[in-house]
Amino acid sequence: MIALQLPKLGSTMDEGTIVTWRVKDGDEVDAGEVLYEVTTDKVNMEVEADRSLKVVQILVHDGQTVRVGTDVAMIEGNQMTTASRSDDGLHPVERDVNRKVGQTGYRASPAARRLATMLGVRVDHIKGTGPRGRVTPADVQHYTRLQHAKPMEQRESAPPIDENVGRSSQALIGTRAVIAERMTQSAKIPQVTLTMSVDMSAVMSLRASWKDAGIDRTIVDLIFLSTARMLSETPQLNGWVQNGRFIPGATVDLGYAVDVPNRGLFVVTIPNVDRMRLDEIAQGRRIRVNRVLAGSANLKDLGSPTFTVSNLGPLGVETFNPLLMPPQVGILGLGALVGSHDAPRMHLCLTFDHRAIDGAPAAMALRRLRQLLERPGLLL
Amino acid sequence: MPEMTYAAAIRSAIEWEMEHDPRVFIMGEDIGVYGGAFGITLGLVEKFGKDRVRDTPIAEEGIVGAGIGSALVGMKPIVEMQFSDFIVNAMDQVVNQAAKIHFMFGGRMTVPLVIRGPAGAGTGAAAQHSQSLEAWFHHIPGLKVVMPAFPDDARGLLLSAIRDPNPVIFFEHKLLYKTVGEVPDSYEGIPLGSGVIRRHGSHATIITYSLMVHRTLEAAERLAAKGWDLEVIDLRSLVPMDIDLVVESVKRTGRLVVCHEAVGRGGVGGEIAARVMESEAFDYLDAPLLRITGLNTPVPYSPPLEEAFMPSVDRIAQTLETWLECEVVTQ
Repeated sequence: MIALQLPKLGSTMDEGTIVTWRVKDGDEVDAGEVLYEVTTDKVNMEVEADRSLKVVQILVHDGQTVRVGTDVAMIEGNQMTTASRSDDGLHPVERDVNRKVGQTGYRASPAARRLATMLGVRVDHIKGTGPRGRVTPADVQHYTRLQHAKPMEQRESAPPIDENVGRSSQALIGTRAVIAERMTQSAKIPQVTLTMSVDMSAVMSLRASWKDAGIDRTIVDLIFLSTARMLSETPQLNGWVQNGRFIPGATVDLGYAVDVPNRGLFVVTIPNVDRMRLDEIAQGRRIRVNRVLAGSANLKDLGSPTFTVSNLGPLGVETFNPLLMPPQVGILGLGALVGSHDAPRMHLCLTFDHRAIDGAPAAMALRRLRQLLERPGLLL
Repeated sequence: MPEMTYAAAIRSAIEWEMEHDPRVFIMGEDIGVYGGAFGITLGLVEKFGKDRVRDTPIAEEGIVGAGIGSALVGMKPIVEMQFSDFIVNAMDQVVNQAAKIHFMFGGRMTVPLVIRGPAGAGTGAAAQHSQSLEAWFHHIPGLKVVMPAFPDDARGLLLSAIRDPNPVIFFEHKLLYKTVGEVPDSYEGIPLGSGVIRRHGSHATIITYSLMVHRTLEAAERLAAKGWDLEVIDLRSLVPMDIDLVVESVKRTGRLVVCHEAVGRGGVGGEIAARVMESEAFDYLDAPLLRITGLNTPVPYSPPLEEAFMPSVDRIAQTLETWLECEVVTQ
């Protein structure tokens, strides 16, 4: 018998409230079945079993709030191998670098470590001025102020983003609360939207030839391919701004906003788009969108994109101001196809975080995207 | 508000409850005609008679045992240990009977018993009459442990202790009996398990109780003159303990000190420290904690050695100052 713990489902999640258990003591469940629904300060989620198991006893009941890592139930299940343990979604996988580095032999008080994590700096990079060289909260504040005073490119790189953080096999069900929270955060960011009209004739003729050949590709897939190309050439648009620092994405992980009827806005993430062929993009996007529509997306599907694409074209919207999805630096809005059959056009709406990038380079990036779409041969 | 001594406040709580609840009575050695070794029960036998103010033989096990028995059949006894050290003669009754009966009878029996008596050193009464044994009782599930520092708390907490349905150990400090303070006219009682911030400060939180509240407050005043801003919390009761108040304070100050007269080893201070470490306050700590306690020795009879055993205002102030200078950087 082993304990099932409340997993960390987001980088800022410290505690969660069990909304409802979908199972009861003694139930046997298969992998993928929902065990319970949990709500955090930001989101409601369903936690699934990642393997078949038997619920022996529920320890934390409906309505109770507990910290991440608390045992919520005792279960019996297949013994895990050591190798698969790190992928085991039932265990929280927190990697707070400011706790781990304690092994290196320098001194920092718990208060200093906590503050460093909150401010997004590494406590082992800070010189301690406290008793016996201890890093104090004042040292952390001082260091953070100095960091912010430096130009962006000189700032320290972010703590390594652990692949496992917040990624486990739990399905996410969004609520208005998440959207409200994120959009409110977004509204505080100084952001600008640039709009450019693109001649889509070349793309449309490509699509016609795919259709003739019976190949399943869409315009959006080609826009993804072009956007990934543009972003890999414009790294300052591909990444996050956190705690006053720009963190470039190591790869282009594109988010795609999907409206799920009755449940709201979801963003699926297609990782490594810059290394994908068009057919891989098409397949990857389709699979994830379908999973979200079916309500079976996992956290990895939702992921942490480095840039987002939002498509309101199918709804007839010609142009709009997409709001940034913080902490991302950019989002691209796609409008509807307009104009005559012979000269179809589309509006591309690029919103960027003006703290991280200025209007001219953003305009250059948008122009490059237009060029790639008007002359798709350049993608080869 | 009337002023009265700590001793008179205790007497007034006993008197009030005996006047208003016929089930309440008191037993102990020399508590009747003599009025108690420390005069707590002076005048009570004249007022309530020998049936309700009962002098007993020198046999603590019998006193506590009789208290438990009468509590089980509907009375609300208060038993006095002439010196709280003598409770060790009654340990089986206290630990194996009083503390456990409510649980072993599935909650269907209660033991509304108060065991009260003077604790602490400072009177030259030597090792067998000067101990602070609260950690022993604090360790036993089923016992509540209360240690007031001021006359108003002595009355208010004793009222609640007498009204409590299960056993309460009520330790008074000998050196506090003559302390005078304002006591409100209310006989409502103070709920067990609520601490009080006696002094607000930002550099460190000092958790203390009983006599040490007074000494810590005085030490904090001395250090205030040197620029240190210390918070002092009087726990008032150890079980139940107001750990929330402690945690909230430590989150504000980032530093924890515990001060008690009982010897440090295995003391309540270690428990408080552990509970803070286990709590969310851990992430707010910015210094190693400090305990200021009685020395790990039987209380000496020699006056200078007895003085050295107990945390004095001087020792508390000096220890705090050294620790603050070492652990706190003020820019």
